[in-house]
Amino acid sequence: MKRILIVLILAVAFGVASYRISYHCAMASVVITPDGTDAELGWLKHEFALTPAQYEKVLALHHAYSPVCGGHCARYMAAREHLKSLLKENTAWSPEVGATIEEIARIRGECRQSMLRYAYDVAACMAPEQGQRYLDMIRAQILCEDPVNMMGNPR
Amino acid sequence: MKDDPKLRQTLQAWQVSPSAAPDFNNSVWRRVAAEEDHGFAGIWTRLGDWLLVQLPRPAYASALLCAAVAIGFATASLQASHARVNYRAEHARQYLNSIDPLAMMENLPR
Repeated sequence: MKRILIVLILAVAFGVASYRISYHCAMASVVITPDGTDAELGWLKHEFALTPAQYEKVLALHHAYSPVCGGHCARYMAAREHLKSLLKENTAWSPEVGATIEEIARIRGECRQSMLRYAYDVAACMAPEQGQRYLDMIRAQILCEDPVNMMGNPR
Repeated sequence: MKDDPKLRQTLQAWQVSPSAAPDFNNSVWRRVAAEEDHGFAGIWTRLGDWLLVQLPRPAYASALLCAAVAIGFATASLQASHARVNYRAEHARQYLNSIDPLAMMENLPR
C-alpha cells in the first residue's frame, strides 16, 4: 500500500512538473518583458520580427503619430458631443445638425487617411513580407474585418 | 464372490440412465447468472489486486511516470497554444486601438 502511494504521488509530481516546465517554455517566447516601452509596441516588435534598427524607426514614427492621433480623437469626440447635444435640443432638422454630421464624417475620413499614411510608413520600415502582413492587419482594421485573422501567422 | 464371473458380466452389462432432476434447467441458469455476477465483481477485485501488487513494480511504475509526464506536456502545449492565440489577439487589438482614433473612441465608456 505504501509503495503504491509513493508511485502515485511521484506520478502526480512528475505530471505537474512536466506541465509547468512545458507551459513556461512554450510561453517564454511570447510574453514580452517590459523594457520601458508600451506593451503594444513590444508586441509589434516581436510579432513582425523587427530588428533593433527597424524598431527604432517604428518607435519614432509611432511617437510622431501619437499626438496626431490624439488630436483626431479629441476633435472627433468634441464633434460627437456637439451632435449629441444638438439632437437632444432639436426636435426638427437644422442646418447645424447637418453640418455637424458632415464634420464628423470629415474627421473620420481624416483619421483613416492619417492612420493609413502612418501604416504605410511603418510597413516600409519592415522586411517586405512582414510589412505585407502588417498592411493586411491594417486593411482588415479599416474594412472592419478581423485584423488578427487577416495578418496570418508570424514567420 | 469377487471372482464371480457371472456377477462381473452382469455389472459390465449394467447401464444406469438417471432421469434429470425436475429443477435441473433452472438451477443451471441460476448458476450461470451467479457466475456472471461474480465475474463482474471479480474484475474490480482483479484490478485492485493488480494496482496494489503489479503497479509498484519498476516496469509499470516507470510506465505510469512516463504517462504522467506525457499528459502534463500535452496539456501544457494545448493550453499554451490557446494562451498564445489570446495573447496575440489582445495585443494586436491594443496596438490597433493605439493608432486608430475611431477604435479608441469605440472603447471609451459612454
